[in-house]
Amino acid sequence: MIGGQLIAEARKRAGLTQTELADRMGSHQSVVARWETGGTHPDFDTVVSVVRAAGFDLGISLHHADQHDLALIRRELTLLPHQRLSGMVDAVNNLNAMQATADG
Amino acid sequence: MAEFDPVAILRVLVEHEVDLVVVGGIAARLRGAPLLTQDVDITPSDTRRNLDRLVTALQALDARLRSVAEPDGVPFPLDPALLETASMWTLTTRFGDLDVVMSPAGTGGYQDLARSADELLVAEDPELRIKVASLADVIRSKEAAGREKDRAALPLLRRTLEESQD
Repeated sequence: MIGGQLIAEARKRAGLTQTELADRMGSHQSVVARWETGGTHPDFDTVVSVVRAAGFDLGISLHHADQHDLALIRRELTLLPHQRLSGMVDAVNNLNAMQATADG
Repeated sequence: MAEFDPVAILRVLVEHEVDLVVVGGIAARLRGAPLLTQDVDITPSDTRRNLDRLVTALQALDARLRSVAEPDGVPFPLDPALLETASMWTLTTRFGDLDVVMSPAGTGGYQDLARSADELLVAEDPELRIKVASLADVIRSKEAAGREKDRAALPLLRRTLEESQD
């Protein structure tokens, strides 16, 4: 699905419709639509060339996977949007209060 | 410093019927990304009627220009024509900081973002629903902005997007 997301991101940043991007590749709008919605999964070389057709080069780098982040994400996704926001606001205001105390 | 209360900011904007999409860190958090932010970012529709409503809401919020030298902010003439002259306004209000971003990097502004936005419940009692940008659009904007703090958040945001689609 990441490949489809990158294609959609590149297309939207370029201000192209699915048809316009497909035209640049000599393809069809339905092909682009299936990539973007996860109906089909483009291989890596295809993603690189489609992103390039939209006017971008794809930069790739390796990062250590952070399992702590993953646990936080999964916990957050069990909550409803208003609960996520409320939790964040409490954390921010507590941090600010601690900072104010530390600053005297 | 006043306590940060993003719900209060959003409630005033909704009460004044401002057409907007919540973007940036608050949108990411509402979509499930476990990050912290201390300001509300919004992208309003840029029609003149909507900018009139936005100006009235900003007056109700006692919005001022954010300034390091002036913690309470700097008063400025709130006017729809003035709002149109800049792509971004960094403001402070009586409920915390508010950024009005007319056209976030990598996007076509309100109309572009509204297509993939959803109306989410951001508070209960009383209920408050507001349009929130998709996580994919938040990522698109942060990727295009390319600032250090945006780039640092991207792995977390992309991971959240993957997990939310599993």
